[in-house]
Amino acid sequence: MNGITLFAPELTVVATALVVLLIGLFLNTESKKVLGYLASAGLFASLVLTLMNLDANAVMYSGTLTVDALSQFFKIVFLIVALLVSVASIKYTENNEHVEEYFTLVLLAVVGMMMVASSNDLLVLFISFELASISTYALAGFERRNLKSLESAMKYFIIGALSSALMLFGISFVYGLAGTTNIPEIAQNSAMLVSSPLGIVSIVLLVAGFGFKIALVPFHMWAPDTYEGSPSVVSSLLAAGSKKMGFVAAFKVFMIALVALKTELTMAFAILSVITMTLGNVIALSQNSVKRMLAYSSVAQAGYISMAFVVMSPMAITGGLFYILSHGFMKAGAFLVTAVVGYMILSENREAENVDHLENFKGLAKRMPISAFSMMIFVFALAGIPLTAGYMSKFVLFSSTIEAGLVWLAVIAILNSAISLYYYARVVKYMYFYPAEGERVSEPLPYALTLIAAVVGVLILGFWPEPFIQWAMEAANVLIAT
Amino acid sequence: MPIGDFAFLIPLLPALAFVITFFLGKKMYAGGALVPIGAITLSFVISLLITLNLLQNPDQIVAQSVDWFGAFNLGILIDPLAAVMLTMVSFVSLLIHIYSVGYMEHDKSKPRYFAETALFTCSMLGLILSDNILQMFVFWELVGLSSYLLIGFWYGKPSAASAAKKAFLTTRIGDVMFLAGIIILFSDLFAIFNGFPDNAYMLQFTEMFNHIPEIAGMSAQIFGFEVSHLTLITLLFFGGAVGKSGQFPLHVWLPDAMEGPTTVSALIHAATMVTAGVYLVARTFPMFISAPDTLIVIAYLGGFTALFAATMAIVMNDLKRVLAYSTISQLGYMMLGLGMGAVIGMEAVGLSIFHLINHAFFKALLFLCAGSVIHAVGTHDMRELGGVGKLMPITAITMLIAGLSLAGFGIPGTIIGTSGFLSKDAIIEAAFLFGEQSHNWLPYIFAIVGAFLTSAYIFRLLFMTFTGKPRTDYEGHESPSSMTVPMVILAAFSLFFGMFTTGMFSRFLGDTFNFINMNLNELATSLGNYELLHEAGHEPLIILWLPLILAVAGLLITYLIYHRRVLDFSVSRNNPVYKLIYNRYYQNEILTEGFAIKVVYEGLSLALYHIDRGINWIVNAIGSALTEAGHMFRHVQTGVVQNYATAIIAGVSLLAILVKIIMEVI
Amino acid sequence: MPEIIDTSSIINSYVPVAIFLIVGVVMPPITMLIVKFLSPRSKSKQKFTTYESGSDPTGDARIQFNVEYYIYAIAFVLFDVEILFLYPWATVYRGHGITSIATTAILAFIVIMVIGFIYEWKKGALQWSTK
Repeated sequence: MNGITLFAPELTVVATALVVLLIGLFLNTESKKVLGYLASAGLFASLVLTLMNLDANAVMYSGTLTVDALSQFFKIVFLIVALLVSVASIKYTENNEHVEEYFTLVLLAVVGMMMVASSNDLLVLFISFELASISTYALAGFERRNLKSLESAMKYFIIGALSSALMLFGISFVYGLAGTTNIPEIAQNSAMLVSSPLGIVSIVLLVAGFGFKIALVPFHMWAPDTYEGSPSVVSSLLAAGSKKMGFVAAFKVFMIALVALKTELTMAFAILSVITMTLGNVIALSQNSVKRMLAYSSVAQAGYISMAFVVMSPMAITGGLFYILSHGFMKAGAFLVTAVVGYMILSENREAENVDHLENFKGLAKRMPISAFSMMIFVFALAGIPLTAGYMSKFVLFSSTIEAGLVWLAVIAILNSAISLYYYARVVKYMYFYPAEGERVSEPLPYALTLIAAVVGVLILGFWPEPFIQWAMEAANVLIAT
Repeated sequence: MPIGDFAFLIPLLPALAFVITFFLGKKMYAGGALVPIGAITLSFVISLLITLNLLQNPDQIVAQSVDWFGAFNLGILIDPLAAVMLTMVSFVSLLIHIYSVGYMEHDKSKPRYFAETALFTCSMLGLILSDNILQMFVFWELVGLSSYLLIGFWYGKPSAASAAKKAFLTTRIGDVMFLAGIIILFSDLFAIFNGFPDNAYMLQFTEMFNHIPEIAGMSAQIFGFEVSHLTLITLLFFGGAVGKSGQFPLHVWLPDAMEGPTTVSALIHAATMVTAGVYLVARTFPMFISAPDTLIVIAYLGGFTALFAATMAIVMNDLKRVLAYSTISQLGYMMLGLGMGAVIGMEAVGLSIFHLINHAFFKALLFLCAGSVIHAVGTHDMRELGGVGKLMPITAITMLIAGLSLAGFGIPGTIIGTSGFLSKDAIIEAAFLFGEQSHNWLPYIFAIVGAFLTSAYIFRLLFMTFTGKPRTDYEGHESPSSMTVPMVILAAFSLFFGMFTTGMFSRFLGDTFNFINMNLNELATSLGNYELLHEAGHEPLIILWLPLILAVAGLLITYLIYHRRVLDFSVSRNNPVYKLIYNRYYQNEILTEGFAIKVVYEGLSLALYHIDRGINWIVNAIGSALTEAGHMFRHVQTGVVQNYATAIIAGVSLLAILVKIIMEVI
Repeated sequence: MPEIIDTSSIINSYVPVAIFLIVGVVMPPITMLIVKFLSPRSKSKQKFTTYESGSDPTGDARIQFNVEYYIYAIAFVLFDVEILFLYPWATVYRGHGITSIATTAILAFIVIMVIGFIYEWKKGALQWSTK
């Protein structure tokens, strides 16, 4: 049973989800803490299993699922992000009676993402997409007594449902034109897609469906509200995990299935990517809520990564994938810092509102040095300061753009990076150059651990990008070869 | 598993110690001092084992490397040269860390101190075992950074802050030259390899050395002179060394660097970091020896620095400043020794590094003794001291040993003598041979007069500090054993290390460049146009004895002036020579106030002010326009979910039209 | 298919559809007639209200529904789906040489459903609380 071994990571996560749910039913609130450890252990086991099968290559279950370098790459990204989120959530869900639901939903969302990475068929892709989406809808509204959280979940759900509908609509067109939902087979029949005007409609609908997850302008508008309103740990999962799911789906569909439409798509993606990065960065400039700022920054980063769809050269896709890996660490880490700050503010004043306001970051270096230092590394990485993961990924991606002759696009992207430095540096200024307004707070261990892990990740990717770029290149070859 | 496989731990352990002490030091015993001490002990043990292994099996050099940013690599190269340096640096660093536990006992920021010294040790060890010039440069900058941090350790003191700044900026001039050298070298190799080679890292020392003949073939026109690229690159490298090793004229930062804790002066500004420049030249010596004229420049500049700094050391009244100028002077000797490659070929490396190692021992010891005095008495002005010897016998004796070693006492013609004697005299003798060979007697004169002055200033220091009666009221006591034990160990090394190793040392270092399989002395003749002596030199007896005679003369004169007070020296205060030297040749006035402040500061700042205002306006305009745009776009984000859905549908429609248009256009 | 198709055959192929349509249209009135003739009568007020699975069918559109109603409905739909899965499974269970895989698969499926059911039960979702 080759299939079972290759899908052991997913099965592990599913089993953990079910076990967590079942055990949680029979525990009282105090002892539910163990569920967090259980979930994290499950994710870790899954990560190890994935790493063991890193160079697997197989298509199975009647061609509906595939395990290759690309899927393993994304699975590892998802699992790392989920592991960071789940360890941090041990603290977040402390004394909450709904721990089992929380972790089950996180785990199921991860399974959904992993299955998207493995899917080789539009229907499987859609169902996995929905599994991840629906789990995250519920997670976004996890703080059900918090109006903001509810609002964010509601918006996320409505827009998500609309986008799912559009995506399914698009898939139905593709099926109608190509006669199959199998991704490689679509590629063979894509002549039909090119010749028919409905081909355009199907592509645009798919772009809208994936663009929702990726947060491409103009499908991004839910993102700031949702990222801001949801619990910070969930925002972290959304921005660092679920966004990447959109990317892997888009990679599969646009680079494998619809590769015949390459020329038409290139220009459209160039425009989308320029608008996305510029709008994201410009709006982020005037945000005072750190989570909102990170949300817009996340929109901007989506714009950068989308450049991979424009250039479509092996190096660009490598850069895009490497960027996705680094972004997983940087963004997850940055949102987790807001979670720690939120914890700090709420532990002082239970009724505090707008806990992620920039004012609350004043003098963070004095109050919570580990968090402040990590945040500095994360925002510098996001801005693309050398020797961080962000720099290397921007470097590879931008230079591939220049190599492909799209100098104007690279120039716009670099200008955008320059703009972004302002709002990132502002956070550092607040943390390090303003006096602290409050006592030193000791950082809870789960938070501190995850932050340190993410910082280490960011720095390793910055200092030693070689093996990871190599690995991203192998994953990119999957997309190029077919 | 061969010991060489653990080589990567040598810099890594102090790095870990840095992280641990930095974050957790506050909660640990003695500010976390034990973490770096433990880490450096392990580094030392590994270095020592590697050295011992190399002594027995000279062919087992450690060479490991991995990819780094594609065309470059991170690597370890431990040949005899690096092994000796590694062992010395980790050993001295270990002793100084132990000493610091006592010395820094009362300081509040101990964790920061130990973290920064651990960082320094890590970068210095990393610098030494680099197997390529790029990695070396990275660590080179890192040692500069840690030196900056440590000089400004008491940043509350304005003088410390400005000294740190001065050190950073001055060495930066050298660093820029070093970098320029690397860039020229890189572009040359790029041309030679015709792009990035597939199976080699072009900035690795092996590749650099193997392509010396090709590089030597390239030349550039500078001011109408035909200059070989090799000369250009090596001179630029030497420029970096001048900055780091405090050679004239970039030495100005080193005396000021004494604002840091005395232990830092001992570790960084006497024993290790300042020798990085010498190490750089020694490491890339195959290039230097093949470059016409470079070695002559080094010999002159080194010799001049040795003398020049010694004259200043003789009039300083601050304990640490005397030692600082002495360091500059001794570094000059090391450079002079390297410059002697022009006459003795590759043996110059062993000659110079031998002095480097011995100097590390006795100079670190001198600083630690000075620190011990300062710690106990609370002042470092020699005019206020006197008679400290009675209070602190161990300090006095160890410092006397160090002084003898520095002044070079020993029996010429034999291997009996202090460490400093054995290595310094060898350099002076080589300078004599150079004079004989080329009829350039200047380096020898510099060296021999410098030797006399060296003896004079160090005994002046000893007499003023330890003998006679206290000139002011103070109480002192011998330092704690955590401080005296390292001092005694170093004293033993200052006395005996040279005797035990003198023959072995040059033979061991002679194997350094075996890994490149070239006859380097031949390169020196063919490419470098140097005439080497083929047989051991035979100096007249007087030349052998002259340094010792001068050293004794220095001792006697200072004895008469400062101890017996036979010669009244207060008169000499007003003569112009004293004034000139006492004011350090007015270099501060000329360089800092005249040039730096008037020309650079004011001129540049005026120019920059106007440019800046223009740029400022543009930047502000762009900035505010963007922020305004941000505010404007913010209103698009209404928060009403219906609008979001509308935007999506509108987006889909527009995108469809867009793709349609693109299809039509294409 | 490239061959030319006879139009009459297309019309012919719609004959079953037409029959289906006619039966569909005629069937409801007939059943209602049969009911009218055959069933016994009992006239009460409840009898004339619309059946909405137990919730109040008339009133203001903005009333709050009892949330338990939805939970029941969801549970019902879930088990509906389970049957929907089991049915085709049963038909292909034999004769395709996949017996062991099919058994494991459906068992896993049922186990997941059961866990969901336990969850629902344990959470008290099946308890109809009266306000």
